[in-house]
Amino acid sequence: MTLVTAGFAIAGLLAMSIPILIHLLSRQRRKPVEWAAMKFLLEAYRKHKRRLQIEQLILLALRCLIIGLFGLALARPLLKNAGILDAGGDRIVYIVLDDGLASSVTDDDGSTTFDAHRDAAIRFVQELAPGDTVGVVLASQPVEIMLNPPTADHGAVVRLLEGLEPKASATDLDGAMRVLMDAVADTEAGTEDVTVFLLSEFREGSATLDAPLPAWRERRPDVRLVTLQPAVQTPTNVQVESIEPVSRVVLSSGAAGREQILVRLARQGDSLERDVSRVRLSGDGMAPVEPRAVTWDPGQTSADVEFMIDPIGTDDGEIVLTAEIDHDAVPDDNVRHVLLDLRERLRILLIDRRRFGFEPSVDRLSAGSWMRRALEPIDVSPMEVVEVEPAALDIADIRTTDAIILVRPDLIADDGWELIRTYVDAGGLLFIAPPGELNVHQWTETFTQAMDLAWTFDLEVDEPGGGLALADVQPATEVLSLLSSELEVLAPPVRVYRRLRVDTTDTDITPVLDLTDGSPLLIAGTPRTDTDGAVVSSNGLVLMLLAAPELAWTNLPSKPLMVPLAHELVRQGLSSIRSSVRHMVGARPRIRAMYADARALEHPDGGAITIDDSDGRPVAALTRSGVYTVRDRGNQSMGLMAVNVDPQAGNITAQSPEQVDLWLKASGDWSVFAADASEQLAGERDEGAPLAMWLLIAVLALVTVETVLARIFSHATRQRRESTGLQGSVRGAMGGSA
Amino acid sequence: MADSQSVRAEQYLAPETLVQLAPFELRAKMIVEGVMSGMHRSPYQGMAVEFAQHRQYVAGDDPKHLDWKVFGRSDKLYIKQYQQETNLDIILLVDASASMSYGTLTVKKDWGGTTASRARKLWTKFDHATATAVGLAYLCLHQQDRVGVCVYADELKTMIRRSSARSQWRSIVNTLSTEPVEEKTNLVKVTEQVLGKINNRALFFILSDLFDDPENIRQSLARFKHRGHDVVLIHTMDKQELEFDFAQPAPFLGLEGEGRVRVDPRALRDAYLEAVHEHVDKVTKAARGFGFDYVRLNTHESVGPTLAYLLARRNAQSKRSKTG
Repeated sequence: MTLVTAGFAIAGLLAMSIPILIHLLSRQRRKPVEWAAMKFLLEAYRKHKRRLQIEQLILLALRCLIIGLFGLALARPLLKNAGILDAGGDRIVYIVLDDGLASSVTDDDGSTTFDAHRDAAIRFVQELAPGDTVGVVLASQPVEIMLNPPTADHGAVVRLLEGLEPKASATDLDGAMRVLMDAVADTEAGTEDVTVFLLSEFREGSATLDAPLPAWRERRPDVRLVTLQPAVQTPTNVQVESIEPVSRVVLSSGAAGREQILVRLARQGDSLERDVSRVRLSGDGMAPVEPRAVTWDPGQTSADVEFMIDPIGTDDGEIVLTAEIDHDAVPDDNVRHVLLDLRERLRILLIDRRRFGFEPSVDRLSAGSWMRRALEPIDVSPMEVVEVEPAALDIADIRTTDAIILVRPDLIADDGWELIRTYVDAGGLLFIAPPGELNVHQWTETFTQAMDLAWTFDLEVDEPGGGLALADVQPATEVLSLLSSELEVLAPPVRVYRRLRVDTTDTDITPVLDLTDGSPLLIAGTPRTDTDGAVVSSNGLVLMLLAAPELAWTNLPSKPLMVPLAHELVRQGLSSIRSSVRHMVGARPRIRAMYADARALEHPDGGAITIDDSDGRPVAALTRSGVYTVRDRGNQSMGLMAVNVDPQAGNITAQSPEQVDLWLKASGDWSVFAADASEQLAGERDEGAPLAMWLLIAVLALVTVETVLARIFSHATRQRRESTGLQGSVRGAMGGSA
Repeated sequence: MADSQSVRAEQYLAPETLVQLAPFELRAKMIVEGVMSGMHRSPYQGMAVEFAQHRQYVAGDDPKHLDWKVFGRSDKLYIKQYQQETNLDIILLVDASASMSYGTLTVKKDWGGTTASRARKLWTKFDHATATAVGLAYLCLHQQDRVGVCVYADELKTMIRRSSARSQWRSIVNTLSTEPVEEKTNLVKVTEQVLGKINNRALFFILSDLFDDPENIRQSLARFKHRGHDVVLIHTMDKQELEFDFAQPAPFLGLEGEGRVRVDPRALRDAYLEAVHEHVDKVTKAARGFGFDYVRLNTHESVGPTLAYLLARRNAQSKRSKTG
């Protein structure tokens, strides 16, 4: 026997103590009655003591039994295998509701797919037998199981369903099914009738057919799996897929002063006809730009729109760009936000040993000197280089730094590495190069450990005979994307005479510049931390030049590539970091990795979400898109954070019913019904055997017996009817002798 | 008794009670040997004026009592005997044991009462017994009888010597109203003590709840009978003791140290009433066996009708024995 709601059974067992407690408490509370005729009372008591005790015990046992059985009845024990009882509502039903972005497809009349599914779920619940229990799982990220254990209060379930709205986050059917499988695991296989009712249209944004659902067939083959027919039509929907600035770091002192913004649109639909979409780009800190019209050719699914914006002002800050298109089938994916860093100058921290006296000749210039010259080739440069001694590195130095250039890593102490790591984790850019004067580079071990990078270096310097040139064809990387067209000309003249060799089989290595032998000269990577089995990537970026930028190692400092390379590595490196940090609706981003003192996130439409001190993330998933303000403990703004919908989550392309069927069948035997037939499902059930009704009948019978026995044992009826025989006439008072 | 503690004697006598008792004179069924003239027959015959009977002369009789007229007519010697009216000694034995402090009737204004009722404002059995006792005393003193009072519990507590003086009644009232009610009862012992102090025959009114062993009561009555006294048992009980009409289970605490027992009164009522019935029957039979009167009083009812009936019956019995 299993219990649908074991809590009631426990409550019933606990409640059995109530009559006993009442009995004991009433014994203690009652004030004694002073009684003169104790002689007769004791005589009567001695004669009937045993009978009275038995009567009281019978009543007490009956009362305890009534309460216990009532609790057990509410707990709804199931005796499916007993075969002696009839069905009457013992089913456990889990409703899995797809409330992700793809479920918000809006009809012409304004109702969404989610509305139809919710109504179907409500009709289904209303048709269930009174004893059936219902649990609800919402499949949008993060998956939420709202009623567990399931409840038999169908009114409460309906009210809950009526209050639900589709969310802007992605659907995670796989996650919902896994959560559900864990919940169902608490029920007893073979003895309980469990039904899972999945309401989804299985559009591309909801169901990833490449990822199989959990195998219900293996774990719980007795669970009934029921779903609705997949959508077969795809209404036309245009979404703002992305906003791609050429660089996310905008320098107000830049020569051109204009920034190129690329807005990418995607279109889905069964009949992609010629159409026009209007794209509006707006934002604070930029001059207004005219909307652009995109003319869709028949069958065209994507389009790019280019905007040129003029940043206003020279103060450092963030520009919020919002791209928006006209309302269509899925409203939530028609808007997208991006943040640009507006900077007057970038502050570069150069960590190098300070030199005094006269500047040496060009052929003896240090790596630090070359990097400074490259970053500040002219007096009015958008880069400001600040030098600091490796041993004097302090948190004050790196707090306002946009990038760190480390040319003497061998002189960094352990606490210095910790500071640098903290800086990188918070979204900083680290450029590192080997010290030119060393032949053995043991510092690389310290460096890789401090950065959690799985990079392996040879300790000794490699000197390829005659030197190696940079390859003509270089890898396509984001940090050199603006320079890529020039590399074909600028790279070949560069030769490398000495270098550090790195094991290129390490998967964490991203080559940025390659030598002609295929080995990298410049590599990139992101530190990763293994926390409790979960790998967490840093927000920053590490770039490493494997040759010291000195003429003894390479002729790069003297070549035309040096200046644009240094500038692009810094600027695009920072842009790459900014673009890598993308926050999606439905997630709990690590806020404190970037804003250590962050306390809350505030949505522009109001409402704040507190940051959890334990993990530095919001206490709840972000359910709305928009530009959130990060607040510190003093409620001061620390920065902005753009949160957008996942374009893939809004992909409403209908998938082939056959493919969906195959995908579903891989996990179990699903029964497919039309949405308007959901109430019929409620009537279908396995033959079960609820004991609750019989227990309730037994309780009623026992209540009747208790009432009768209590009446008999109380002698109240007889007491009222009969006189004592000692009252009455004067003759009686004379003892009847007169 | 200090006046401050005294109770106005009139409070004990409800007008309706006096009205009901007024037509009756208390007549002893037995012949009392009074020293003062009263309305009761004296066993000392021959010295008074009222002729009683003739009997044959036997050797030793005083020849001066011979009825010569009868001798002249019948030639037989008969002695003339006369009945002398005398007064009656009344002893009121009032039970002041702790059980007498029980009562359920709420005391109303100007009811008076005793120490037993003052604390809880309830009309106790002791109040009822004392009210009855002073009523009887009033009646007896009114007809020139000597009245004495004994208050007892486990032993004789207080005794007011017999007197027919006008102040006797007030003395009785003051004593009874201030007597403490807290000890156990022991009627056998008290009987011995009382009889040790009473030499002449008297009429005893025992006012008690008689919560004693019936055998003890019977022994006491036997002692009274043996000494030639007349006894009227006035069995005083509260209405609740007669009905046992409690609705809720509760612990019951004995007033005379019987301990405490928790019972459901509704379940025990029949058995309790049966025990009371049995006890009353035994006491009644014991009283009847010795030719004594038995009266049962309910503290919630008026004393008048019951006592009036008792006195009427005793008058009738007295006249029957006189004529017979």
